[in-house]
Amino acid sequence: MIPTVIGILQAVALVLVAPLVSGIVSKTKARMQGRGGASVLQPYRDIRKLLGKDSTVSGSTSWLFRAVPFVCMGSMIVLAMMTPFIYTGTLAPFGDLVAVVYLFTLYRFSMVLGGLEGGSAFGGMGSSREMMMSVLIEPALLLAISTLAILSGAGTDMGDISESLSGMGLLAVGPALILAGASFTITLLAENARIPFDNPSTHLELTMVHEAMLLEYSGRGLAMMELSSMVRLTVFMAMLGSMFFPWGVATTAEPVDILVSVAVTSAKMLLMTVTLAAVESVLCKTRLFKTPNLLTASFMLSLMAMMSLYIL
Amino acid sequence: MIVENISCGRDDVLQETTDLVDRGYRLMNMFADEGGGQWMNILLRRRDRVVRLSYMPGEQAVPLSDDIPAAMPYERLVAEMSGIAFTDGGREPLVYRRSGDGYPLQKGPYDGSTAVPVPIPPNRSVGDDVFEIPVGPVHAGIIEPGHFRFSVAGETVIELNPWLGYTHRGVERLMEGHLPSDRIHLIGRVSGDTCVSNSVAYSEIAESGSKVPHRARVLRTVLLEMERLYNHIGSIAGICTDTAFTVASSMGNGMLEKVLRSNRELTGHRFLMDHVVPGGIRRDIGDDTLRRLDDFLIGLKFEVEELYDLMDNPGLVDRMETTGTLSQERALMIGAVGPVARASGIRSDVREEAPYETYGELGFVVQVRDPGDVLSRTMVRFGEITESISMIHQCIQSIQPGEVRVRPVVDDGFHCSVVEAPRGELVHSAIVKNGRIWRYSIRDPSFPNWFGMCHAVPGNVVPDFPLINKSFNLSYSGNDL
Repeated sequence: MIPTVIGILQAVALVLVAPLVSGIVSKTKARMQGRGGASVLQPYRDIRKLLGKDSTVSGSTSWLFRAVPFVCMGSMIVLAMMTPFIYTGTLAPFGDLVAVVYLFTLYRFSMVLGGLEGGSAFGGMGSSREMMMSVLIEPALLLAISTLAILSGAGTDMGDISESLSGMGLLAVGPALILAGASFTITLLAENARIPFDNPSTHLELTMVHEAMLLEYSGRGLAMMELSSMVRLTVFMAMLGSMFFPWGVATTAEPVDILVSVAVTSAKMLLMTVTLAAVESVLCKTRLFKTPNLLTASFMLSLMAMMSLYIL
Repeated sequence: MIVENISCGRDDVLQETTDLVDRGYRLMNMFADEGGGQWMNILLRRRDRVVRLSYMPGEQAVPLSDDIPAAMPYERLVAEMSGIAFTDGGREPLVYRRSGDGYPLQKGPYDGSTAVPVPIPPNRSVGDDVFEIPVGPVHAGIIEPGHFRFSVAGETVIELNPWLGYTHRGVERLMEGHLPSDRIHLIGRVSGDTCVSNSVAYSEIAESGSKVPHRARVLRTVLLEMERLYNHIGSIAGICTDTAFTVASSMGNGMLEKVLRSNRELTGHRFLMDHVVPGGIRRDIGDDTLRRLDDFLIGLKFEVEELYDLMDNPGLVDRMETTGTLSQERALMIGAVGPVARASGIRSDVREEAPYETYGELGFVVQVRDPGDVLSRTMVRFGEITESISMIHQCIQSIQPGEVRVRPVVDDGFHCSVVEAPRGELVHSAIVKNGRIWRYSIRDPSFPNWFGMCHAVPGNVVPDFPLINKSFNLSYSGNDL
């Protein structure tokens, strides 16, 4: 009973903390540019504001356009329930790695459809660019997580992998974990439309990838799209924190363990958030047709991680 | 500047023009005026010599664009504004883009209310996988309006057609009938960020019969270079913003703000508006203020170097190199001017070729770079920022006390002035009759350069367009007039 409650609580916490993560990234970036920046709570205010507004929907769209925000939000909530954030006993013991990868794909695919629905040139461009990247992200992501599954020998559930790896202690640290972690980090940047793959704060429609697909959304629809993309970033960070560097994650539902895990996880998340902001500040957006090079590098890293398991 | 007026017959004009072009003259402007019938005026310049070739086209004018491609935009403009027909057929409208009763620049009352907009024509590129992307006229961000049509195959642009004219206000017509010294406020607002250059070009015409004091000329040079400084810094900061290189972008915009504040200290206006007037400058700038400016610029120079070092980043250089290349050959063909031409390896700078104000007394190096990509345009701007700071320093060191304003006097006849605005060669020409402006023509540097951009974009991918556009940094309102 208690593990289930904690499982529910951690999924809720993950969704609730997502706007804060985005707020901290923006704030850190602003400070690095010498600006004051908006409060870290600004994303919450933005979402509240958008939720209070009506949606304007183009007459050329079908029901699909309205359904996409729900599919996106839904797939992210399911992912939040499957991700070991604080406690490894997640709510979805049967949702394995393949389901995780394809929930991300479902999210992306429905967003691409939503981008095409509006019938504008920008949405179409964003969708086609997103699909180009998606084809390259998917194998790297699948391979990187599979490496962990093999390394931990605990099956394909994310919670089990996390539990098993943290139980292995320093034995788990090896080429496989480090290479897979590097690959996963590149995938994190690409999946979440961060610099150098995309510029999350641009106003130039012609260069957009992720934002171009959201251009037609407004009001509540936009709030859901924004929140789900924030949750996606947080899920990725939680996966990086609790699977690639799982030490500190609670493996039992003991109150002490949970409290320690909350502290450790917060520190890890903060570190990753600031690092992300730093990476975004020192890099500039690459040319669109050079992004496949980076994604191929990510794939190669995860392939090497997998090979190292058998060779070393 | 030596202006030579040549009248010739309709049959000789093509021969005359091509002869002048062969002798190194470059087409500068074309406009029509009325005086016992329509006259066509063709302005050409070689260093400080300007030739005004005029002829009466009669029923139909002689097309020059077959031999001189740079003439095409001017022919299109003359056809729609003054109703000049050409022997080889009609011309697609360029700026006013309306048809209906009469032509806006013909004499006599003109009622534009019955004119109807000319619809935007589809692109010429057609094919199975060719798509047309319409962009604008309303853009994200705070920029001027302009419509762009891209023909793309996948991400690669095949053709780009700009459709401008949304900020057409009829400036040239509004100039007519006024005293030559009366319209400084209008001229200052032709293009906000080219205010000083436009005012100086206009003043040189309106004061051509009087001797402007040396102190006023030195201060005008200071203001002209301050204008170039803030334009170039803003342009470089824009390049960083468009490539998502956020730290450099913030730094550049911070520098821009400092220069604008220093502008306000100099003249009371952040964009230096209305300080240059015919006959001199409106109010003297104190020596204390100038010394403070000099100190500020020394600090700015170090900041510019810091920004340069920050931008010397492999990722950023990779974005800029080979993007939006305008070859020297193309640049010459369309008659590109200013930093755009200089980045394509063309040594053309009015400050050097036909010194006005006190540029003849200053030492500076004309910044020429290769091969005409975004990187070379940025490098030209960086070079010019350093040169501008040095020029302002020389001005402040050499300034002498004295008068700053005299009564402007202008004789009847044709007058022409050429100024190197931040975007390049800015041409003003006026015909004064009975002490009033009869016809006024402005050729903004953006006018030929827009066509340069149309040659630089095809072959690049769509996401690189905003970067190329930023590196050209063209004015919409100056082009549309």
